Amino acid sequence: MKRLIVVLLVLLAVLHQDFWWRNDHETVLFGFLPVSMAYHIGIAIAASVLWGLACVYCWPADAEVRDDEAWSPSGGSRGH
Amino acid sequence: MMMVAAGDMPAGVIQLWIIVGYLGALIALGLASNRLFKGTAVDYFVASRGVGPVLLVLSVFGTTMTAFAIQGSSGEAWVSGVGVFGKMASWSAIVHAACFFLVGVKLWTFGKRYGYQTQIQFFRDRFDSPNIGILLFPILVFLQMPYVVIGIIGAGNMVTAATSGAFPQLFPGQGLANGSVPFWLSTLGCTGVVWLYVSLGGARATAWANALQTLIFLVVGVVTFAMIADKLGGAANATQMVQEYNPSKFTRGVTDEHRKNYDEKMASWEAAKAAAPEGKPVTSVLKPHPPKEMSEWGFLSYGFIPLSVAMFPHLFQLWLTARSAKAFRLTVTLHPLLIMLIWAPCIAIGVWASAAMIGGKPVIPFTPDSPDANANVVIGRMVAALGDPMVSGLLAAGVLAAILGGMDAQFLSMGSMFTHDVVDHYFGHDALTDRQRLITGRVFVVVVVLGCWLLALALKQTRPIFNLAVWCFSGFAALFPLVIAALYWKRVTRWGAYASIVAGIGSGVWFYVRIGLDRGFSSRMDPEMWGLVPAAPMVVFATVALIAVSWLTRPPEAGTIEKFFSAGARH
Repeated sequence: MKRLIVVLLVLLAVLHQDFWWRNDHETVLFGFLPVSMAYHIGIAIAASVLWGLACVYCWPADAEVRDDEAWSPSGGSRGH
Repeated sequence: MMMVAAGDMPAGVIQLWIIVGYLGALIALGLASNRLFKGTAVDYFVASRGVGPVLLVLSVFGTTMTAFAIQGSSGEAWVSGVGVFGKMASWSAIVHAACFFLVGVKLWTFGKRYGYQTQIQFFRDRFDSPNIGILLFPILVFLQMPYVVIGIIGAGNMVTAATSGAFPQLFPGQGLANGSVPFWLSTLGCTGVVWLYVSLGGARATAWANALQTLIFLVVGVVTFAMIADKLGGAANATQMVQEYNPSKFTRGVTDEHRKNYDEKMASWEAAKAAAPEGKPVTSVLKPHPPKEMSEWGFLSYGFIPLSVAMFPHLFQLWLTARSAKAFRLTVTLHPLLIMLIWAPCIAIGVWASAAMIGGKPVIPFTPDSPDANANVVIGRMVAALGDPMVSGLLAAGVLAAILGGMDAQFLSMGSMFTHDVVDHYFGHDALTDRQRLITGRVFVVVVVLGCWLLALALKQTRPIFNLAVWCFSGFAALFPLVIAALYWKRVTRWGAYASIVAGIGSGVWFYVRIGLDRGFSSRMDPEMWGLVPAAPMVVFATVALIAVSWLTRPPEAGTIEKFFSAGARH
């Protein structure tokens, strides 16, 4: 699943380059939305869905830090 | 109590009250957040790392979006068409979320584990280089300062425009400035309010204020879009007008059909001009815009600019406020949707403006090729055409929210950088007490606010500073290879890091000077190098230098790798 999501994210970046609508000013969706803009609204929605899936399936296992592992002002050096 | 009907008020007064109401709400948030303030530096700078997922998504979005999202995007769409949504908004939707996921979460982890409160603290440890701040600190401050100063100038201009005519006896002046709140006073008021709530509640107040600002964005975008669509006879009608007069606004390419259409419409306009009385402007016929092409390479290269969010100091500061790593999940997921929700209505309004007629007259009395063209006022004029001071006031509050939303976090992060990276590191030997850091931070926030306000007063007429804004994003983007390598590549070395900074920023300075000398530093610049936005080659140069020099120099110490990469260090 992780690999699939990475592939889909790369594909999304590739599909962003919608040269096929480059000269189409006639096609409108819902009577008012130019097709190129509608497509990119779709790209933004797809980004939200894919990154949401990435948060579920590709979340780094070591991201969380427990409070007892964290640096505290009274807990000594932070090493920088 | 005597009630005064809105219609009886002088122009600009309702707008002023809406602005005052918004600023009052910010102060109230500052006071409320102060009740939770724990009196420690960690609480002041990073809200004791206690911000939950909903507040995080709203505050990160409010900080990331600048006034460009509302004001500039409409103006740019009016000039270049719907391609602006793809090159800026949908690229940002993909790349911003990637930066939050890949960079934000990791930096939060290291920040909580090792107590980092600035980026330089992290880089000092990661590259085992106590003095990397000597190079990085001035770069980060220099890249951030123009944005803050331009923001203050923008806020002053917005208040001037919105309150025009409110106090003609008290503040007489010429044009828009007649009767409006003067620039020095409006900028003092706005920066003063930001300083007040940052001082009262630190990072918590900043997060709350940004959340409010995000909500204001959403309301402004939707309300303005719906009302303008209605005024133009419906969204479908507004779109048809654009197809008729400026069809190339719906495409990135320019076809023969577009050129022919332009020639025909231009001939009609010329005929109307010839028939008009001598010296009178043509107000009954729309003047078409010259078709403008957007190259595919240029469009592609815009994907490099949103990489800048990975290195914004003020965003780093906000990331650190998260309660847990999981709090980022909502931000990563919803941020692309929020971008779409804000940008789409503003882009539509900008494109419609290119062919908008109300009462038989064009709403925008100039075209992008006119000498008096000003793309930034397009959305303001569209809203003014509604003749509704409430919507004008709401728009003013929305633009102010966009400006101040970035500014508060920038003030706080610059105060934090001065405190931790200069005073504590070089004068306190990283041994200042928490109380000393808190006091120093507060003092520096005052110094930064005052300095930026004075710079805004001094530079408000200095045109070249406005062009610097484009370059600031490119500069932060050029530092992306540095942060991504620091987090994911064990082999990156101190000298690779230095080389990357010098190559990325150095090439940017060279591009800026070269383009400025060619086209004038004061001209409205859409900077391009080899048909690409400068951020693209800057990121490439920074990456090549980082990899090449890292391979040629001694690998980092085992202890450093252990600290940042070994499983033992992370668990």
